[in-house]
Amino acid sequence: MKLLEVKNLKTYFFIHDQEIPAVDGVDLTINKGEVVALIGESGSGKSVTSMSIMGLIDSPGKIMEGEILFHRNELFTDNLLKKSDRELQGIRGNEISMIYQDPITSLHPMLKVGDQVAEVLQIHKKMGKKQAKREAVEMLKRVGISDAEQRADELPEKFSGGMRQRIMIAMAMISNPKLLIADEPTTALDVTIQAEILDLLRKMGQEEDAAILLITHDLGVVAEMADRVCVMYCGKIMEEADAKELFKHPKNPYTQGLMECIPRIDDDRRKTLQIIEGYVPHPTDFPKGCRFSTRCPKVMDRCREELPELIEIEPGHKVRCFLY
Amino acid sequence: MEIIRVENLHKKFTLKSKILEIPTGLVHAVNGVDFSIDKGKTLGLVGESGSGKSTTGRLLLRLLQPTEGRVYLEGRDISEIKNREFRKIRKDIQMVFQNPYAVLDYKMTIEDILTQPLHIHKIVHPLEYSKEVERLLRIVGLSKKDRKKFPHEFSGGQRQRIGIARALSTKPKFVVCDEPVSALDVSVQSQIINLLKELQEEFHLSYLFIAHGLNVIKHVSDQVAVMYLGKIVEKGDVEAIFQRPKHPYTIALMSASPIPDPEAKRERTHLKKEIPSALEIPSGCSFHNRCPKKMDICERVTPKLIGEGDYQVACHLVEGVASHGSSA
Repeated sequence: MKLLEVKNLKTYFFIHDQEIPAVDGVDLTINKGEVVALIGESGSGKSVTSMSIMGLIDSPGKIMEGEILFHRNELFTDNLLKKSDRELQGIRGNEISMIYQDPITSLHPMLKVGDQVAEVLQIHKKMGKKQAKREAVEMLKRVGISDAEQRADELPEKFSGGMRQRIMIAMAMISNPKLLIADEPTTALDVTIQAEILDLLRKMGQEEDAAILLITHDLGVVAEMADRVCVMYCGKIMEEADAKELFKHPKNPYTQGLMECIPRIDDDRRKTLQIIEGYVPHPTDFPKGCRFSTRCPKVMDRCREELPELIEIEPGHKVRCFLY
Repeated sequence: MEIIRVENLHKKFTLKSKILEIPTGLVHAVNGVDFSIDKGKTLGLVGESGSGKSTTGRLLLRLLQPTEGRVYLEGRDISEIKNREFRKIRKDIQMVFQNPYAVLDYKMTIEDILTQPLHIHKIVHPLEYSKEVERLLRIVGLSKKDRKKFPHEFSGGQRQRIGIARALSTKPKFVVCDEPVSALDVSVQSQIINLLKELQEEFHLSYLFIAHGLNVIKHVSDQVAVMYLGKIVEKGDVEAIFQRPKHPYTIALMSASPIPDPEAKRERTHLKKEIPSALEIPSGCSFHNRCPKKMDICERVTPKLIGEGDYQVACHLVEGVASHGSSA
C-alpha cells in the first residue's frame, strides 16, 4: 500500500539572479513499512527532496511544481504542499519524523534529553508531563541508553555522538510515525557505531511498522538497509529498482560507474580502480541534455541534446537513459 | 630501504581550565607508537575518531611537537632537530590534507600556490618556475590553462589534485596522506586514489596513509596498522591483516564495514559501549571494556605488541602473549 507519493517535484533555489534546479522533476513512491534509499552525491538534490517532503523549504528556495501525497489511511490523502504551516506542524514530528546527520545541532543544548523526547508526546499526543516523561524513559531504554532513568536528566553534551543519534531516534519514533526520514544518519559516526545505529533503525522501523526514507551517499549503507533504491544525480532520478536487482544489474551508466569505482574490502587490491571521468557539474550549469552526459563513457550525440525520460524497462526497474 | 622509522612516539595534551588555565586533565593521544616504512611503500593507518591516527601524522611533520620518542628519516634522527633547522627537512616530508578547501589560500592563483614552495625550498632556478608549475599540473592531471585560476574555480576533486601537486612540488621522499579522499564525492574518490598510486610508482614515494575507511586502506596499503586509543593494536602485511585478523578490535572493525552488496553474508561482531574518552583510558588493555572476548587478565595487564617478522598483535588471546605482558 502506498504511503507517500512525490509527483514531479521541482524545488528551485534563486541565488544572485541565478536559477538553481536542485530538485528537478522527482517522482518517488514509498510504500507502507518499506525502506527506500535515496542515494546521490553532493548536489544531487537528495536532501532538498527530503526537506521538501517535510515542508522545510524556505527562501531563497521555492517549490515550483509537483505534489506530495501522504496517504494517512485507505480513505484520507493529503497533499502536503497544499497544507498550511499550522497543519504541517501537526504532521511533522508526528506522522512523519526526521533524523539528521549531526545530532548535536538538532538537540537543544540546555534541555534534559528526557524532556526533549517527552515534549514530542506533550505536543502531538496532548499527554501530561509526568506520563510523557515516563514513556520517554521507556523509549530511551528501547533505543539502548543504559541507566535511562538517570541519564534522561542529563544534557546532550554528556552523550557521545552515537548516543545522541540514539536519542534522536527515540525522539523520532516516540510519536509512532508512519514515515521516518533519515538524512545521512550515520555519516558523522565511526564504522563500529554506524553498524549499531543501522541495526537500531532497522529494528525500530520493523517494530513500529514505519517506512524509512534513507538518504545517503554510501552504497554500503544502502546494501545493508534498503528494500528499494533510487539513484539521484543533479536533481534527477537516474534509476530506481529493488536493492538486490540494482546491485546485480545496474543499468544506468552512472549507477554502473558508482558501483565499480568504490574500493571494496573484499576485492583484489592490486587492480586499478575504475573511475568516472570528470566532476559533478555545478548546479548553475547542469548539462542541457542528460545530466550525466558530460561524464558518461557511453555518451551518444543524442544524450547531449535531449533529456531521456525515466522509463520502466522491467517490472519495478526504472532507468533514465537512451540506451534502453 | 627504510625511509622513515618511528620509535616509542608519545604525545600528551594537557587540558587547562578556561580562566586560570589550571591543568584539569591529560590526554594521552599517542601512546608509544612504533613503525617503519620502506621506500616506495605505503603504511595504512586505520582507526576510529580519537584513536590518535591524525596526531601521529602531524607529529611526523612536526606540526605538533612529540612529548617523547624518536623519528628517523633515512636513518638520521630528526627528533632532536630545532624547529628552524627542521624547515630544511620539511621538503622531504610533505602532507596531503583531508580538506582541500581549507588548505589552499583563496587569494592566490594556482601558479602562486605552486611557486611558493619552489621558491622557499629553492627547488629549481627562478627562470624555471613556470616550466616546473606546468609539469606539476600535468602530473596531477590538470591543464596548464588552470594556472591563472583561483581555488574557488575548481571542484573538490580538482582542489585535491592541486593539494597533491603542492605536496609534490618539493620532491619529497615521504608523504603523509591524512584522509585524502574522505571529503570528496564518491565518484571522484577513485580518481584520487588511482592518482596517488600512479605518482607513488613514478616517483618511488613512501606514504603514511591515514583513513577510517577499511576499503580505502586495503586498496592503497602494503602494510596496515590498526590504532585504538593511541596505541597500535595490530599491524602487518595488508593480506595478513585482512585475511587473518587476530585482534578482536580489528575483527569488529572489519565486520562493521558495510559491503556494497545486499546479498553478502554478514557476521557482525557486536561491540559493547563506545570508544572511551581519551581522558579516561581503561586500565590494562584499553579495549577490554568493549571487547567481546574479555578475560580477567585484560583488566589488569597491558598486552605488549609482539609477533614474528612484520606481523605484530597486542592481545592476551594470542598464545604466549600473556606471559610477556607487563603490569600496568
